[in-house]
Amino acid sequence: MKKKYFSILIIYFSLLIFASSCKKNEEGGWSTDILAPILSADLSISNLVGDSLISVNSDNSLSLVFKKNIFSFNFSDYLLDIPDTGISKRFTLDSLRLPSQTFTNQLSLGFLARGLISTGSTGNVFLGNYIISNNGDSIIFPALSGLTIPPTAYDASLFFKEADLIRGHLLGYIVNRFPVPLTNIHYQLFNTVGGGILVDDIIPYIAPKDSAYVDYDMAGKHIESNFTVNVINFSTPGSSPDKALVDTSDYIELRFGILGFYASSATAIFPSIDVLASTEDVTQTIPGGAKLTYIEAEEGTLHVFITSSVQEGLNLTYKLEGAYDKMGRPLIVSTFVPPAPIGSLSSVDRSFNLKGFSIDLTGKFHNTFNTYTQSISARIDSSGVLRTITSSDSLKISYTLENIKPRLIKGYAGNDTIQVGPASSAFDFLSGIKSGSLSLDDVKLSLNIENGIGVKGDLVISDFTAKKGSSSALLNAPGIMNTKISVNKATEFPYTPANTTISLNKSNSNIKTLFELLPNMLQYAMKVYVNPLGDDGTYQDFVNASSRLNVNINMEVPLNIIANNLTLVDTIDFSLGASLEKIDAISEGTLNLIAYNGYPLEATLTVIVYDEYFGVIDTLVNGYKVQAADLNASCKVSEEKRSIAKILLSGARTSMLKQGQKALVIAKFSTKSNQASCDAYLKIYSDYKLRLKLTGDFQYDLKSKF
Amino acid sequence: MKYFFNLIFLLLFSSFLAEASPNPKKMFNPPGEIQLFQYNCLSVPNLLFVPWNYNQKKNFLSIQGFQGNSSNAINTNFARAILLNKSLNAEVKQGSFNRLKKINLYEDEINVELSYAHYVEKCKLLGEYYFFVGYKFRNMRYMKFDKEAFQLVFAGNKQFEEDTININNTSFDYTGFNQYQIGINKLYSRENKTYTIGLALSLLQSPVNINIKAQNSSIYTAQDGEYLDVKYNMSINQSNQGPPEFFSFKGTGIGIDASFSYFNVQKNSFRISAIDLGFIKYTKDLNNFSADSNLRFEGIRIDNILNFTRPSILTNFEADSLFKILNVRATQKAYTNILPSTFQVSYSHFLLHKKALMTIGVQYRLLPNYIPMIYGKFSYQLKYGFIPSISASFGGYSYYNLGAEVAKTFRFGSLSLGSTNIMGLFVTKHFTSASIYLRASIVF
Repeated sequence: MKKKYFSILIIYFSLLIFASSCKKNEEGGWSTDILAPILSADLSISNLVGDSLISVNSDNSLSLVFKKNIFSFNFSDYLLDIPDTGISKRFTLDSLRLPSQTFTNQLSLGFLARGLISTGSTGNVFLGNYIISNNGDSIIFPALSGLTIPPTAYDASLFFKEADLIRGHLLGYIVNRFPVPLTNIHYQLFNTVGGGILVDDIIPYIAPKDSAYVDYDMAGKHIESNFTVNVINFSTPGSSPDKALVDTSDYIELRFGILGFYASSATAIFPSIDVLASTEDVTQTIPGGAKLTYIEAEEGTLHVFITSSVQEGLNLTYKLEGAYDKMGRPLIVSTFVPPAPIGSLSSVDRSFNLKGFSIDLTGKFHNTFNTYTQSISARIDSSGVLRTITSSDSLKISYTLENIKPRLIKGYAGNDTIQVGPASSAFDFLSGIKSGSLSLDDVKLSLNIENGIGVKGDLVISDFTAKKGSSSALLNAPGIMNTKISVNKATEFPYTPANTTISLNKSNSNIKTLFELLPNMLQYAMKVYVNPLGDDGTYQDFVNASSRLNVNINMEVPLNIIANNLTLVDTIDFSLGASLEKIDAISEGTLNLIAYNGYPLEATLTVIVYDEYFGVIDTLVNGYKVQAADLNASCKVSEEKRSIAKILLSGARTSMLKQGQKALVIAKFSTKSNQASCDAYLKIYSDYKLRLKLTGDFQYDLKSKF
Repeated sequence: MKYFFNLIFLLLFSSFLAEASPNPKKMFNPPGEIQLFQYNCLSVPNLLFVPWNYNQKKNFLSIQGFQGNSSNAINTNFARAILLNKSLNAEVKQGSFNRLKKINLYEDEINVELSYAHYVEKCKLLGEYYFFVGYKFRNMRYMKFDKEAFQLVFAGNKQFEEDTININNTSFDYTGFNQYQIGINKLYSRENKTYTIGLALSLLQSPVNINIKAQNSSIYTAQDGEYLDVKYNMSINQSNQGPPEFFSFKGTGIGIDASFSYFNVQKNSFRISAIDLGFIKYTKDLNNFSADSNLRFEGIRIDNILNFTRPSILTNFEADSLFKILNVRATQKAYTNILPSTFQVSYSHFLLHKKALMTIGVQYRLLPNYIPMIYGKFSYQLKYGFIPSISASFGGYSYYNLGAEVAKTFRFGSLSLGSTNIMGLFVTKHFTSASIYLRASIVF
């Protein structure tokens, strides 16, 4: 025996040393009986009625104020439909201007005298010598005739090769610096190679020290770069009987200028010139008879496609007149059209975003509608290269306004009839109530038609039906249903929607019946007549893309009710605990569901727990009755009533509940009155509330190291 | 640290300077007679208490361990379940509930020690002395608590429905530390009389501590647990989160042991000692929580019960949210724990022609509500160096104890096994204290 104890002591001590020197992993524990609150919550009317707002009346009773938009109509789908529009137009070149040039030829008196001598004729030799010998002297200058000036050739090939002129002028300036008059000056200007006469003219008289100015219209002429000026004949009557001072350096000058030559066809080094300028309107037809004067584009594209046969580069400018972006910048599209290859075409394809642009649609004279105005200009910038361009060369410009989605239109919106519905709108007022009956003392409903569109209209409601399952109730409101309701248009500055309100109550309709049905759906049908009186010529309609025609209901339901087994059903997430380890520590116990009811409503509560596959795990609470609070002589609750439900949690049940994911809560409410003197309808006051407490009375196994 | 190592070097070096004495001092009795030094301690001796006959062998190496728990209310059955992490069943709990007093006390300690001592008969600097070094692993807990606090922790609050639990002067301290000790015992021998003055310094390295104090606190549990009215005034200091890292310095401190002994080899001996004078300062991995407030707790508040997403019905109490609810102030400040020092005075006297030794003494520990303990021990030498002892003590936390020890001496050392309160080891339901110790030593 002693040995045994001794051995036990040795082992015991060894274990102690081992235990003291090693980390302890095992856990001890003990069981405790815990009684503690877990959750507390107040359940109020606001928790039950969803989106409804609570209104407190002067006697502190409550009303439910419910607002809902049951219909919102966007007219932009109808009125802001701008079809694509475009134009494709061929533009020929207005003109091809050639560079201006000046050509000068002088003939001195001495040269003329030597020319006379060189003829060998006795008379001419004498006259020639006479003039030369009297140089510097005043003599009676002899009359001369049959005089010529040798042909003079000019070369303008540095500027052009040839051209067919459609307009332009050859300006001549013949200066007589001789001391005697010149008469019958006959001269010609002709193409040196082609030989075509460009000018053949005679100037009858030019006084001494004077000049003559001539202007020749060159339209229709073909001009080459090499041309000749030939003075065929001229005469002088001499100075007799007066003497004239002979100065052999005096001269005759012929000065010709090419000015403003425009060719229908030319091979030339073209200067910088405008070859096209056009402004024109494009009017489109908009469905529905709308006459628009202005749009603001939310989206849209200007698509420009250009083909050119011109063998010179063109700078093309397109401007949509009256179109400006938000910064006030005009819509100007500039693009370069490259030179067309010989015998072919060059092209440009570009698109421009019209987002944010406002566009005037009143045309270039601002007196029409649906009309775009565009200006197109084309200009050749001199390249210094010899090009051949003819008047048959052209630009074909195609431009389209695509996918225009206006943000705003102005003008006349057209005349239309729009059928709305039949359609349904979910109605979630008291949507949590699944069954039972509710009798309301009154329902006040106002139907608010809010027109956010700057267009007048009429509205005819043909159907307004409350539905719940297979049950339905049609609104019966004489003077409202199937009657034209005039709807004013919104004002633009400042923007203010127009409101039209129709009041419904138990006196003028069966509206109470509709909502005692506890509907979950409202069915409606109506017709909207847009501009029923047609075009009044003011063009003051406006439609914004965000504008709506809203039909709202504003409902006030005084909580003066009779409830009979009103059943609320809701599914909430359920979890017995965040930590399964902690739940495992609960071996058994009781959950106490304690209610302090301040409502004159009796409630019966059932809670069913489901697993993740919606399989029933347990009925946690089954028919727990929360007793209604008693009414005092004033038919008001002055003291809450306590009820308690005990939910037993055995170890097995707790284990099952751990799998719970969802809980179905079914609550049935019925009004209860203990005062015979009180009305059957019970008012719900603002100070009523239901306080819920969940407490735990369970055996909790602590597993702590100590 | 520098001075600490210098001291170690001095002591080691001095051992080589010393020379063995050709004339052994008369401190020890011849073989066959009981030795004064061996059995004059209630349990395991401190190295300051002359643990071996250094006249025969100069070196002494021992390993010893002690485990004990003591309480004025908690029986050993309960304490053992706690210490060994066993499940506390209703019977075990009830056994302690029946003993609960207005103020309840509990302490336990585990001490495992490896030590070495070397005797120097003569040294120019210090004369005759021995020095020693040792390593100890120590684990201490003590608690002071109200009856209702104990019932609350171990039985829950259900029993206090519609009643108030008052918690006053409740404290708990748990310290684990490694003790690295070096010491010297100066010997003065005059014929048959020897005086010793000993001093030991320790570096204390603690990987874990938790200290809880609560006072003027109460909990009222309403009917069906509808609410709890909690009034609390408590503080918690904690160093270390999670499992202790054995050699981590979460807390560092120093400890001093000191003793004075007188031996008359013919008659008796007397000793006065102070052990564990010191402190540990905790500087790492700290948490200080304090709260002085009151609240009514009605459960987690749900604003809209019909829109309640995934309620954790039974366990919705996480630390952070609980701290907010309780208005707990949390800091990470260093704090200092004073060691529970032990003071002893003992007197030993030979009986039966030096075949037996009778020791009486008194011990006091710096623990809350500690009653000075008076003890007596009787040892008798049988044949073959076999020495049984019995002891009795009165005081401390458990008021009275009966102990027993059995020892065997050999030429090369000794082995002893004992308990200061042996009844608690075997009759665990009825005794509130128990201890056991073992010591094995060799001399060379």
